[in-house]
Amino acid sequence: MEALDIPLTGFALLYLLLLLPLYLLRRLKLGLGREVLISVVRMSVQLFLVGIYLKYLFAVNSLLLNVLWIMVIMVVANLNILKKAGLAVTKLFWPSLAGVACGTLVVLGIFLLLVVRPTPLYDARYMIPLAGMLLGNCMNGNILSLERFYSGLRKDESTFLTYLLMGATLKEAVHPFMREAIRSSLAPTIASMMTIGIVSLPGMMTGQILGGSFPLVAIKYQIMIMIGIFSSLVISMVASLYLSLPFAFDSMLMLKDEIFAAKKKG
Amino acid sequence: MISFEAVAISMQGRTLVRDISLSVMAGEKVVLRGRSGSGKSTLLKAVVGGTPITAGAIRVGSLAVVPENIQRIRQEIAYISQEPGMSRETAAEDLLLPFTFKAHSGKEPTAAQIEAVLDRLLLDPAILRQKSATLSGGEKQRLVIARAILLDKRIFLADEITSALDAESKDAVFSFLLESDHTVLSISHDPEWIGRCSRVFTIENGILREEK
Repeated sequence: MEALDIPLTGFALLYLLLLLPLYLLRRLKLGLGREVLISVVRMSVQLFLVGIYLKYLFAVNSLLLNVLWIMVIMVVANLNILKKAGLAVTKLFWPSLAGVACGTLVVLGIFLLLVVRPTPLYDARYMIPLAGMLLGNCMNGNILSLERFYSGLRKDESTFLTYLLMGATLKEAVHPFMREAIRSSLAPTIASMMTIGIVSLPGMMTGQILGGSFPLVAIKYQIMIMIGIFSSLVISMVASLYLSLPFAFDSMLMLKDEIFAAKKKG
Repeated sequence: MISFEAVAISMQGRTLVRDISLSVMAGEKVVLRGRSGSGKSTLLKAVVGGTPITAGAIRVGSLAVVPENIQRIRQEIAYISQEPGMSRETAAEDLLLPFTFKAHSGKEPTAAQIEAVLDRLLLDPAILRQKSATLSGGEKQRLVIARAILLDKRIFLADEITSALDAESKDAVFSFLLESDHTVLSISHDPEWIGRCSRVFTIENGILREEK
């Protein structure tokens, strides 16, 4: 069973659909029109380019190319994490990248080696989309956890100092801040697992069904991906936070100001 | 006990305080005054390594405030702020928080010791069952002091602690901190507190000056 291709006229109509939300945004004077148009154009161009690249990647199906692709997207995701979290790329690039790699690669390895077991194990059709899905979610979670953790410490420096004065080690003193950052960053993922299938039909499952898979197969993949996302998210958050500690505190165990990205003037 | 030797602190390229020299003897009660942003709190935090100094030296006893000594120095000192943060669910958990750390594990106080300390600070033991979030500013401060007594701290850094105190808390805190043999370096604008301290200093334009 093959998915129906979308004809060119239908595809063009898809963009016309945007006129309605753009009209509503304009009526509300939100001033988002330009931003929406740029993001739609960027999204379309990026996806087409990636589509062309993936077609090539699937045809060649080389371990080296697949690994290289995953490394590139991990670096891009990592840069985005630090930028959005307001942290200095020069100070925390490596620990944050290591955290993202831990979360993504451990779960991806389990998926390929033990759960899906494609032949070959590095089959681009499985390796690339699964890595992309895990990484995309790790990225969003890590932005939240790193931002909340370090801004929480900066805001409540006195409490942190009080813990050190009570004899806490660095790990003990940051623990309450870490707990709060992880708890609040995981909340959206947990909420989405609670309502999935009732309120929302996930994109991957819908895509698979439209692509011709049986619903039960699609559901199995969806459950796999949800458990994977949750696991990789927790692993990458915990790893990034712990691995960044030696880079973020000085010899007096105080938070270094230079780990925060300099604010743009004006 | 605490000595500042020609200390200067700069932040973001601006000199906040300079040439600060001051010795606080064991058991002495010293208070610092000055306008908001004059560097009083920064100076207080520098004693426990909370702010880096740009020149001079700070000593606690015979130990210089440097990375190698900072853990030992922090063991001696309690820091109390205007609104102490309580991070645990109940007051009991907050009071006993240090004993969950490796440094104090196995040294938990007995129920009798806890009761004696609470009594000294005019706190009803029933307070321990209360949610931390429901405690008043004065109750929080007295609990923080109780925690410091249980940890046998000898030096107290107190940053504007009287502004959130009710009358009952004030009596308890004043008599504990200002009538004991503990060393107290504080920041305050409260005339009653200032009047009961042995020496008063003002920070103005980054310079420390003793008031006679």
